[in-house]
Amino acid sequence: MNGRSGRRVAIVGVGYSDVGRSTGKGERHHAAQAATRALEDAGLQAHDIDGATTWGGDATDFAWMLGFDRLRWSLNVGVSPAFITPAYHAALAIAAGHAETVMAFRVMMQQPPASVLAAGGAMLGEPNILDAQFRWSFGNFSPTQWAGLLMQRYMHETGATEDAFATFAEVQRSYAALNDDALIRAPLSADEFLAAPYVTEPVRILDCDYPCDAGSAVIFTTEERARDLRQPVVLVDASAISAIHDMNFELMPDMVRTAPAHCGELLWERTDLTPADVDTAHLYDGFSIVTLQWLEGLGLCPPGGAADFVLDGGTRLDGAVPTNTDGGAINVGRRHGANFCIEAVRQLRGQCGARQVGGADVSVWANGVGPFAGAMLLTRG
Amino acid sequence: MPRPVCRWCGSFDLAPERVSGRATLYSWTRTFKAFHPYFVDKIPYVLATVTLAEQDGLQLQTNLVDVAEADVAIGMELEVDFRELTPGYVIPVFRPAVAE
Repeated sequence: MNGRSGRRVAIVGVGYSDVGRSTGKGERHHAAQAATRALEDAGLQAHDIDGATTWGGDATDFAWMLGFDRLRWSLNVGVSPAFITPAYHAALAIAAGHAETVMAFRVMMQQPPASVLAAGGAMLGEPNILDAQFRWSFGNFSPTQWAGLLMQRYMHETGATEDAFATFAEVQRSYAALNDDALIRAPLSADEFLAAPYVTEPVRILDCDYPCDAGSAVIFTTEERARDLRQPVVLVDASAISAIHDMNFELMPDMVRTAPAHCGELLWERTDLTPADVDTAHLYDGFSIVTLQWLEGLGLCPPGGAADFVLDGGTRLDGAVPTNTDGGAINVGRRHGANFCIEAVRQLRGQCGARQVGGADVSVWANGVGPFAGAMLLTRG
Repeated sequence: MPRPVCRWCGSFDLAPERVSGRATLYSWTRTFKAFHPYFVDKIPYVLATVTLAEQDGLQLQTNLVDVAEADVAIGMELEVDFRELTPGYVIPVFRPAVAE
């Protein structure tokens, strides 16, 4: 029993905009660049696209701007575990026969720098102002702060030390050095990491993803149609989305076994593959503690064992499960999960050059942590 | 967080309830960056999630005060104190419990 239903879905095109810090270009510009490159990658025309979904901007706006076909299906995504949400729903729409070829977007503009925030210039994403009084009054304004709470509790329960996070950072940077798309590429030693300042102890600045302006686009279609297109076929084997708490991360009664653990259960129920089959992993690193929770949640290492897994070299190119081979969002910039999908696809196509994992047949990518999470298992077709 | 309905029993008949002010430390983070102008001259400060003595999993977001970093330990017993943030606006903070 693998819980599969409907048509088999493939990923046939991927593309980024000219990603960078404070590019001066708006959402539409980044969406259009990413879409154009994803179409070129796939060998498709704009009028071949009959479904669109995005987190960031408006899918119908992008579709009209780009000259897509009349949309048979569209979805604008709100608060949710990042790019996995439009990607997951795009695949569902195709499996169900509601669309043939869907473009999924994540368009994200660099947030104001801390100096602007400190001057009261912006108050970001507060979905429920009634809850805010119970956080803001104590000086809790930033996701970096719940990350500090999660990481502190995680270290307490598992015995993980900051050395594991230093090694994690060093490994990710070694991948970034091999990736032309990465924004930060200079080598980083574990000692340099440990000398970096805390933002919200034990979270250091180098544990945080790197804000930037980024457009990402991924094209999903049927397996049948994918066989006629330009690229090696990459199939969606299984996917899952979990939500286990409201958006108050800092009040979760268990900060160690969070939504990635639940999501992992759901994912493996829906496939004949097992964690031992995974050749490459691409696991959200909004903060590095998030990737560690995903390694455990997906069963790629034992519960509580992610720190040892990292220290033993498990995430390296020659490790048990090469992880975040593009360098992660800490180095390629905050593309909010789309980079993990795109890197997984490129690994399965064999297009990763010096960071290519030999014989990659199965890749998993994942987004989210805490209250919500999503993951997608891809295979070489 | 206050909600119009109880997620355990479905009741809409909800009201504030007095608690003991005792709690244990679930997790904490020392914040070195001011994310709002009010906190510019208050960093670093300790943000904490505490579990109230009344109920397992009943978490509250607060500040930890009157404790040196070396003495902070997850699971430590805490008691409530109060701070006036601005005139008329008082918040509950927590400090190490005094042994009885």
